[in-house]
Amino acid sequence: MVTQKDFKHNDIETLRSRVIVERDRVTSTASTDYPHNYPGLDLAFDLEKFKENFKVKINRLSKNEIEFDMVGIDAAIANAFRRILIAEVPTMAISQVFVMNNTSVVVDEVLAHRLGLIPILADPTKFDFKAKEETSTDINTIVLRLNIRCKRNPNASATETDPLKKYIHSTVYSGDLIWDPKGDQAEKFKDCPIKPVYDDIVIAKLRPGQEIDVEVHCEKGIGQDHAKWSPVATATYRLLPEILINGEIVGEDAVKFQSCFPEGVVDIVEENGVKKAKVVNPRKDTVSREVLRYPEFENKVKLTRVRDHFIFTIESVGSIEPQDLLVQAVQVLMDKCAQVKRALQATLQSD
Amino acid sequence: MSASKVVRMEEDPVEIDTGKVTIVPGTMTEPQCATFCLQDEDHTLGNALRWTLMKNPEVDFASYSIPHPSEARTNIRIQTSDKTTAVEAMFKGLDDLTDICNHVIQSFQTELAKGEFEYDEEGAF
Repeated sequence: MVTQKDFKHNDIETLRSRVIVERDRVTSTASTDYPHNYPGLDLAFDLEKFKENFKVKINRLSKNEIEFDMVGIDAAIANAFRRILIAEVPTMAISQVFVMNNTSVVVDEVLAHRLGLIPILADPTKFDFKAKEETSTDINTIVLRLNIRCKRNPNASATETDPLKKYIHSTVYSGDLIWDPKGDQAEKFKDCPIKPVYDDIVIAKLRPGQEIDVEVHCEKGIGQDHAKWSPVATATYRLLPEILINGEIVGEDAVKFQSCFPEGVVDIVEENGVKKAKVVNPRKDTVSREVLRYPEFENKVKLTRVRDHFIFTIESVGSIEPQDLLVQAVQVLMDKCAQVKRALQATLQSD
Repeated sequence: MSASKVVRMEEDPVEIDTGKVTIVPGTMTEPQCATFCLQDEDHTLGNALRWTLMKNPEVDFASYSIPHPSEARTNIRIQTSDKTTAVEAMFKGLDDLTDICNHVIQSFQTELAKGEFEYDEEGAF
């Protein structure tokens, strides 16, 4: 995908397409590929050209995480995707807690906050946002109940000291939240019943006689309002690192060169009995800049990052599958464009 | 991937909020320049849109600012050559951004369908 560039000192092409990592600073950070900026280069936006250059490559996927490369896009847009992933992709979360009884040591407002942060497994696209003045309906609210009372375990021995064995319900878990389907919800979500994503999140601890009896309402929201609605634990990107060697690094220097990078970044190849350093996997580099500290490597190595090669890592909280997150985020950005376009048309007509 | 699935909002009738986009009074002295004020938008749309605007060769100047951090609005300033107008440039910027988004979704879904990646159910990186 990325062709290794020649080692030259900051030629125009390098300045345009690479971020340069120096010993004590980072230069050439801003993108400059706009029309009229470079003589002879037509950098006007062209969809066909964009399609030609743009590439997505998924590297890894698991139940909760995805890592992919996105190449040929500007940081302004890649960053918009990242920001939307964190703050603007909607999910369902507990936003109202009605406390019937709470005699636990966890006070009501702390309990409500703890409940709010529990990720809920419910498809947010099947729900509407609930406006403040709107009443709750089956289309904008999910009702869950939590009714737990702690008792002594009659079967436990008198000398038992482990609260988990001595008492029943000494710990309240997220799995104790029971969905109470309203309207046609039972039918609509019969293939994927609504429940907390994880059943083993500790909400509170109880002792015999203590009770928690609450009804909670989940609503649709976005991370911008409260982090509990954020669908991701992290959504980050980094630029692909690139290590350029001027000439050859041989002998003991090659071994030292290799030790400046994490394992697997640099290999040592033997050519005619001479050890030679070779960069094999710059992706693994953490860009620690260790190599730039040594005088023997001065002007022999150059560290850059490819300005339009983003390595995205998205970790889902569990309510939305990781492979769906990017698509939903991009759709949010498209919705924004459409909304602004319509609003501008309306404004122009009313003037 | 059909395009119709991707362009979701176009299908739903949506209430148009006329307060969403305004032209800041006094900034459109001629059609070639204007400052647009977007309500409830931030760096997410501001910077992305600035980039597509600057990619338009007829745009002489495009920039965005958030005048005050506690007011949820973004100003976008556009100045263009005589060949177009600020409003036209704005529409082109929005359309280009939508085109980019469409292609990103399509590429991602094609790549996902290919399934050429490491899958590990429980894997944490």
